[in-house]
Formats: sequence, C-alpha cells, structure tokens
Amino acid sequence: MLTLRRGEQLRARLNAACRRYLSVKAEPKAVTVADAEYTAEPEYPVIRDLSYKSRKLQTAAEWHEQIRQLPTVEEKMIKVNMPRYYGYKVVDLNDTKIPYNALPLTQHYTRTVLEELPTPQAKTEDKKDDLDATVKMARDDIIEALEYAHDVYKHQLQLMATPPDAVKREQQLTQIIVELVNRSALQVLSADYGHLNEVEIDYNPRHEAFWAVGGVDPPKNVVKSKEGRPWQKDDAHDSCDRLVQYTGQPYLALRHRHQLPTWKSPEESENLTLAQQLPRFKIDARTLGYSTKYQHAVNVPGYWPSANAPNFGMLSFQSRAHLQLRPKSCGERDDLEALHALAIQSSYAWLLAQANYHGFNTYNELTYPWNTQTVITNGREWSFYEYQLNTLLVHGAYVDTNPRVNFCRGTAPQPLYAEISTEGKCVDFNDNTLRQLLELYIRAPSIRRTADELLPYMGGPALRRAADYENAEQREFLEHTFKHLASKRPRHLELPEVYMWEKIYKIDNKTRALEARRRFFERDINPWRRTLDQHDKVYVPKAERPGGRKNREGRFKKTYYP
Amino acid sequence: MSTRWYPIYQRGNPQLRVFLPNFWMKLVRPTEEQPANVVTFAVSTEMTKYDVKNYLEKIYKLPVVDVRTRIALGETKRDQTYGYVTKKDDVKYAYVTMPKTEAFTFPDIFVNKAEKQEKEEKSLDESKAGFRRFLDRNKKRPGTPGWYSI
Amino acid sequence: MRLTNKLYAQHIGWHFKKHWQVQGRRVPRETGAAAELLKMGIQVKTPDELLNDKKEFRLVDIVETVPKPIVEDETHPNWHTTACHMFKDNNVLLGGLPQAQVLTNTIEINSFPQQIEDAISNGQYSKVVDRNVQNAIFSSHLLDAQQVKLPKVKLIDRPAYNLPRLYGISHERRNRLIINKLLFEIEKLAGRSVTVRRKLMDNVTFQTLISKDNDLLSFILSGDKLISSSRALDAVKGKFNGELPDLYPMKCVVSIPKRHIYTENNFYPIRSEISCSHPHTIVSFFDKTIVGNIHGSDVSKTQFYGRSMLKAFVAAAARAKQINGVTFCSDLQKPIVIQCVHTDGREFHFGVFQLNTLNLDSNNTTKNYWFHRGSIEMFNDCSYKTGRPYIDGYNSEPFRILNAFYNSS
Repeated sequence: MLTLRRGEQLRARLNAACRRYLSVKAEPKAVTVADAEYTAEPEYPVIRDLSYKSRKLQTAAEWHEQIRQLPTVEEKMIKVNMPRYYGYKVVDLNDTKIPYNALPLTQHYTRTVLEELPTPQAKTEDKKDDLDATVKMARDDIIEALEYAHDVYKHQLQLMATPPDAVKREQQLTQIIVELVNRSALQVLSADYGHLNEVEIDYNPRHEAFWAVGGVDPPKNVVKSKEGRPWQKDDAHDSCDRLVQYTGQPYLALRHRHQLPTWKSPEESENLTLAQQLPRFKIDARTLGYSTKYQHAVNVPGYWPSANAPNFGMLSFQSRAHLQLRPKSCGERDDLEALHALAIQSSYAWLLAQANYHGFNTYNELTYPWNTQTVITNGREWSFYEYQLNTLLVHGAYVDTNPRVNFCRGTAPQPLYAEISTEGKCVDFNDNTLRQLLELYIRAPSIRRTADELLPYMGGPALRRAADYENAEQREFLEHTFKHLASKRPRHLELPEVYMWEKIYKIDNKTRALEARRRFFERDINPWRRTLDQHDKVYVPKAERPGGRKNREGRFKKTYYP
Repeated sequence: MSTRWYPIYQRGNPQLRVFLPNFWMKLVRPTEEQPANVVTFAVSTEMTKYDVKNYLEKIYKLPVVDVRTRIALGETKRDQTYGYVTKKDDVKYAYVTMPKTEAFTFPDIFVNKAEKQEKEEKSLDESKAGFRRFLDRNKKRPGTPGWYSI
Repeated sequence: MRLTNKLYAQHIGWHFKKHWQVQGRRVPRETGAAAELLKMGIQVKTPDELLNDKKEFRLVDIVETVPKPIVEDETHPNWHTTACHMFKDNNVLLGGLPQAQVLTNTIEINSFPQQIEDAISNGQYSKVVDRNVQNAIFSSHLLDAQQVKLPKVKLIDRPAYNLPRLYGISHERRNRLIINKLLFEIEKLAGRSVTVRRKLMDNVTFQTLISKDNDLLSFILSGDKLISSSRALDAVKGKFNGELPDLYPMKCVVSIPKRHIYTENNFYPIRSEISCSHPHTIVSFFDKTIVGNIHGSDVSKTQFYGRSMLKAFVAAAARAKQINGVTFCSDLQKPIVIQCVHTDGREFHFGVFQLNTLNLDSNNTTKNYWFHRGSIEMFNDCSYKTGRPYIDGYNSEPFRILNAFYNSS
C-alpha cells in the first residue's frame, strides 16, 4: 500500500523534521561573529514602564520624534494636523478679546515671567547724547506726521454718510499714524543704522500660532469617560493638555534677516524655582470668557516659507482698538494687565510661528533663544515691550519639569502727545516716548548663526522647504495641502450630525427599540477621529494617466502625506 | 425688577410699588469648576446681562465686573406612568464675575448629614440592643408582659 | 292678512335687537340751532370731535428700527432740475482716451516731459536694487499670507465649467503691498532730503463738479495712494500743440450716466493750510471685477489710459478749485502738474497731467497737456509653479520710471 495511515504519516513528518535539525546540528559550521556586536560592559536596553499611562506617554513621545525627523517645514505642519481631518478643538486667543483677569492665564499658557518697567522719567545726561540729536531731528517730522494724519482723517470723515463705529475709527486712524511714524523713523535713522535698509515691512500681516499647554484640569467629558473605564478611573482628574490657537492682525510688522540680541543669559533662563512660581491657571479658559472653536493647527508669521526671506521678526505694532469694548467696570489695573496680556500672547505667538518655519514647534524644543519687540498703540498711547522666547515646551509634564522660562518686560502706556487742538496743532509732545520708540528701531539684529545651527531639525542644506524637493508632484502636493490647511476652509461635505430628535429619542431616552442601528453613533464610530489622509483619492482620467490609458496603477493621484 | 414697563422714576415722583416681579435669582453650585471670583446663579429666562448686573448692584450692593449668561435646555425625561417623553423647563444660568479681590465658594449645606445619620442610627441601635436584652431576660417565659419581675 | 291682536303683538326681544341696528342708522335732523349759536358767536362742537379726538402721531426714535429709505424723486434734498453726468470709480469712458481728451480739453503727447525722460535715462541702478524689487514682487504677489476667496475664474471656451475656487491674496491687498514696497525701495534710494518733502496717504477721494458746453459733469474718484509734496511741481517747459480728436457721431459725455440727485461740493483730501498739501503723484488701482463698462464688456487699453488721465484731471481740478474757489472755471495762472500711476499689479501706466485751464468749453484755445507712454508690464507671470515661486519676464523699466516720478520736483 503506498498510502500511509495517519499515524505513520505523522511519524514520517516528525522524522523528516528531526532529520533536518539533526543534520544542521551535525554539520560543523564556521561561526563568524562581528566584533561590533560585543562590548566589554553589557549594555541593557532601557527598562520601560509598562503601565497604561507610560505607554501613552511613550506613543506621544514617538509621535513627537517623528515630527522632529521630518525634513521640511510644510511636512512638519501637515504631520501635526494628521490625526484630525476636521481640525482640533482649540481655545481661541485673539487680539480682539482680552477678558477680565486674563494675565495669570496668559502667563501660564506661555510660561512667561512679566517684568513691569517703570516709565523712564528724566533722561540721564551721561548716556546717549547722539540719540538726543536724533530725537530732536525726528521730533519735527513726527509732529508733522501726526498733525497730517489727524487732519486728513478728520477731513475724510466728513465725506462718509455714516461715520464708522469707534473701534473702526480708532483702527483706521492708528493705521495711518503708525505707517507715517514708521516711515519718518526709518528715514531719520537709516542713514546712521544700516540694518534699517534691509528691513521688510509687512502691512496688516496675518500672525497665527498653535501650541499645546499642559497643567490644565480635564474637561467634564474627559473626566466622565475616564471614570467609566476601570483602568483609567484613578487618573480621571489628572491634568491634561489644552490646545490653543492665536489669531492676530497687527498694524505693521518689521522683519530682518538676522536675530535681535538677547537680554537674558542662558543661566538666568534656566531657573526651575522661578518656573514654579509662575501663576497656574488650571481651570478651563471658558470660565474667563474665552471661546473654543474647531480649527486645524495653523502657524503663519505673516508670510509663506521661502528660502531667502527675512525670517526673524524685529518689531510689531499691535492694535488695542477692541479693548475699548471691555466693560468699564473692569478697572484701571485690569486694563493695564490686559495690555500686558495682549503683548505677551502676541509676542509669543509671532515668535512661535517664526520658529515653526525653522523646524521647531510646540513639541520640539528650541536650541537657541528668540527675541522680538512689540508696541501696543492707539495713536496716542504707546506701550513698549520686549520678549525673549527660551522654550516652547509647555505641554504635559513639562509644566512642572521644564527649567526654562520665557521673559517679557514692558512699560505702561505713555502718551506721545496730549491732544491735537482744534486748529490741528499737536499739544504737549512727549520726547521720552519718542526716544523709547527710536530705541526699539535702533537695536540692531546682530546675531548671525550658521545654517546648521539655525535649522537643526531639518533635512540638511538642500532640503528645508517643500520647494526643495526634486519630485514636482510632491512639491505641488505639499504646497497645496499646506496652504489648504492654513486657509481654514470648511470641508465641502457636511460634518456628521446627530439630529435633535435622534438625541431625544435614541440617545437620551431609548424609545425606538426595533429600529435598525445604522447611524454612526449607534455603530460606535467616532467620525471626528478621522485622520487627514482618510479621504477618497483624486481620480486621474485615462487620458491624463502617466503610462497610458491602460495603466491601472496610475488611476489615483499619488499623495505624499508625511 | 420685572419685564413689565413701569413709569421711569424721576425725582419727585411717587415711589411706586412693584408687585409680583418676574425677575428672580437663585444661587446654585456651578456644574463646571469656576474661578474663585465667579458666582453662578440660576436666573429668570427673561433677564438680560444688564438686568442681572443691576439687580446685584442696586439691591445687594455687590461689585460686579462682568456677567455672562447661557440658557440650558431642560432635560428630557420619560413619564413614569405612560412612558412618553417630557421636557423640563429651560433654565438660564448667569456667571457673575466679581473683582479679583473677592472670593466665593458655594457652601456645603449637607456637611453634618453623616453625623446626624450616625446619631440616629446609634439611638436606633441602642433601643434594639435594649429590646434584645429584655428578650434574653424573659427567654424562659416568652410572650409574657414586661412587668413580670424575677 | 287681517291684522289681529295676535298678529299685531310684537316680540319685545326682537324689537330690542332691531332697535340697536335702527338707531345706528338714524340721522339727526338739522334744527338750525347750530347756525343761530354760531351767529351769536358761541362755539359749537360736534360730539365726534369730543369723542374721537384726532391724535397726532409723532415718530418715536427707537433704536434698531430700519430707517426708511429716502425716496429718490423731487422731494430728495439733493434734487436738482438739471441732470448731471456722474462719473465714479467703477465706470470707464466708452471712447477711451480720445473721449477723455475731448471731455477735458487735453492734448496728448506721447512722451514724458524732458526732465523726467532725462532722469529715466540717466538713472544708474545696481543689481541690489533689482534684486530688492524682485523680492518685493515675490513678497507682495506670492509670499504674503492672506487667504481670501478670489473671484471666480471662468474659462472663455468652457463657460459652464466650474473651476475649483482659489484662495489667495486679494487684489487690492496685492496692489497696496507692491506699491508700498516699491515706494520703500525708492525712498531708500532717494535719501532724506527728498523724502522729508513728501507725504504718503492711502485711500483718498477727490470730488469735483465741472460744467462743459451746457453739460454738468460730476466726478467722484478715489486715489489709492496720494504722494503729496511741500512744493508744487513746476509747469512743464515748452510749447505743445495738438488737436483734439473728433468723436463724431459720439458726444463726449456718452456712457456717463445722468442723475438728478447730486451735491455740488468740491473735495480735496488735504486742507490747503497743511504744509505738504500739494498733489505730487496719484497712484490708482485697476481691478477688473470692479471697474468695467456700463454695458458689461471688458476694458480695452485705450479705456485704461483714459481712466488714468481722468484720475489725474480730477485730482488737479479738485486742487485748483480748492485754491481758487469752487466756482472757478477759467485759465489758471499757475498750471497744476500731477503725475499719475495706474496699475493692476502687473501692468503699469505712467502719465503726467498739466492742468492749464478749467474752462472746458470747445471754443477755448488753451488746452491741458497729458504726457504719457504706453503701459508697461512689470513681469509676465508670477505664480507658484509646481510648488516653487516663479517669475517670468521681469522688466525693470516701471521701477525706474516710478523712481524718476518720485524724485521729480
């Protein structure tokens, strides 16, 4: 009988296997071991904490590392947005709304130490005599510019049938004044200070920045969902991260190729005790008056990434027109603090947006400090601030462990002139304020760094932006996706919605027992957990397919998501 | 004080009385945690932010910086007897911000509840123990009245 | 039938009901008492006056009511019996430059005044300046981060096809940025001696009313940037002769709509008491979604030129009327010279207008002068091609002319 019975079949197979192993063992094999695999001291891999929380932290750290490894600016930005197709739920920070008692929250969210400088009253005779001469020369120009601006604007207001409201009036007048004052200052100073010839002026640029803040109490839905799971019940009230998006439109912004000099040394910046003395605002920002919105993470310092653009901010003029709308019952002290909060958040956001274009983001730490200067003005009252950004890590456990702190120092608002008289003459011009303004212009951006030092997390000298890729399709895809995310356009198709009757009769009170469960909330699908690349791909018609009509592989346009 | 329109008071006018005003405010514990200077009220749905502010400032002399309101949809419940879905009335909540120097926490009204319950239970336990002792004394003659001695 | 007792008996309830109707219809008889009383001088009042008092309702000023739109007929406060031709920003003359010439009594000279031509040809520019201008073009057309919905792009050969809607820098912002950056470069080159005598102003309006040959013309035009100087520009030296073009059978005011409601004031944006009030250069933007023919077709080159000339004319006329009085309409002792730049971000048209007279009648021998050359493109194409910013056909000519214009005095 040629067919073996089952037992014999098995035994035959076992014998064959053993023979294979036995034969291998029997042959003497020349074993070669690479020397590099062995070291004198045993090097054990890191012992990982395998608890649930640590594993979550580990996945987050791996995601941050993936972002760091990406070579170009646009890809990093797209990667941050990858987990959410419909955008993140972010706290909306604006330059139009600063609620009561906003300063502790702003300091916590930006990890800033605020130093209020006293207004310099009398100028000491020994320092800066050359600045005195410049101030004298600029004085007449500026007074003329102010009178001109007020006159022309008042003359033009006559023409309008309905005059605009107070906020818009202030904004229009201040825009004219700021542009004229900036022009006069640059004309007066550019002869002596060469860096002002290379400055780039942005008119009403778009400053937006996105970052994650830790040490905030979890919202009620997070607490409830954690309490419902036995392995997370004990961690229900642990602090979690809150995502923040700043949107601002200053009057004017000046940029330069090189960085401003720092005014806090690295030793002073790394101070854990100082960091722990910072105010902590653990409660939800909505209790103060901020609102939330759903938006992609957008980091734009007013321009798109470009190779030889002046990439470092020097000076920005912020608007305080909307602060008029705050209730009068807030009080003077809180109005002053609101200005400080506005300066801190706008400076931090602009610096963060610029740093994003250099490869840093809220998840990857800075390797060198950044500086900027801010002026908040309404044409008459001017406050001057300087900001030094030392760290971007304010999320997660870094709230308690990051020794680095950001610094901001600024003055109270000082009037540049008392008023413009009915004849159009400027009354009581204040030289001190003008001197402080010119000091901001005079501070020359002098720090030069090598390209490697500037862009440590990028893909080398030849690959920094999407425009550096050789593949044209990839370039186009990355540029298109990046700008689409930054445009905050709504998606074409409607968002998934639970109708009111479904909320009442299917979710809150389960009255429809016999209906088929076809809706997304009945099938345990969370439609907001859709990632950016979960969409139908663009179809390539047969006529345009590379490789001819019959090419099935080229049916869909290739995507280059990081 | 009310949604009715009353004649504007000028100096010299008689001080008219307001009867059955429909503005009311009720201090409630906030559902989400609020900063120390924010107080939460349940308020008549017809009141506006300015009404709430004036109410507190004029009647109770409280300094008010800012008021934010929201109308909470009343919850839906099943009727116990017939099973249909009913909806409770909507409530307006006002979050009143006071100056930073003021602080307010909602008082804990039921803090002594545990103690009171313990006291009640203790007295009940004591009376139960006493009755058990009585039964034990009369175990040789069960059912006889208590005034039997020895 | 026989009227018996039973039949004669009446239903008292129905009587009451009917009586209510009857007495309402009853008319009181004239007794003559009222006439006698009036003769005696005693006032007689009817019950109607006492009971149904005529109440006068005044309009209560409540916040947030919709204001009643003012009817545009004879009752309008600005109504005039003579109609007036109103020319605004969104309109273009049908006949283009020839029509504008006839309208404003101007002769056209196809080159710039001598000093400007000299300044253009003698100007020496280093490569740095060219690079800066190219950077300015990049940063204003491509690298600025504003993203608004751009107007729909329609393909002419496929009118029903909907192209995907683009987001990008809006037209007016693009123009504003390019002009600001070019002027910044020019001011850096010019130095403090020139710049201290100039002032820039955005979004100004010029309004003036002129009569020509029994027609009233009202111009309300805006300049998107006005460079004003502390000294007026000198009149152009030399005599220029030329003929006005013949527009037969068109009348020179064709395509300017007529209205009866207008105001007769003259508006120049800067008061004459201010030091830098002389108009030096006016820059205006051309946006083809706003500016067009009233019948809807595209704007041709000559219409483009006509628009720039009219802007310069209106600015000069408004200034002349501000100095000499609103009713002034004759030859000027000191001609007003205004330079004009008309651009749509890519095409630049430069011109110099000399206003010699405000008397626009056809029998007047003094003519105004308009010096201009054809429009020049700064570049052919500036966009993102396959993800990289790209510029094609860069021309440095417009920058040089603009520089010469800025420095002229």
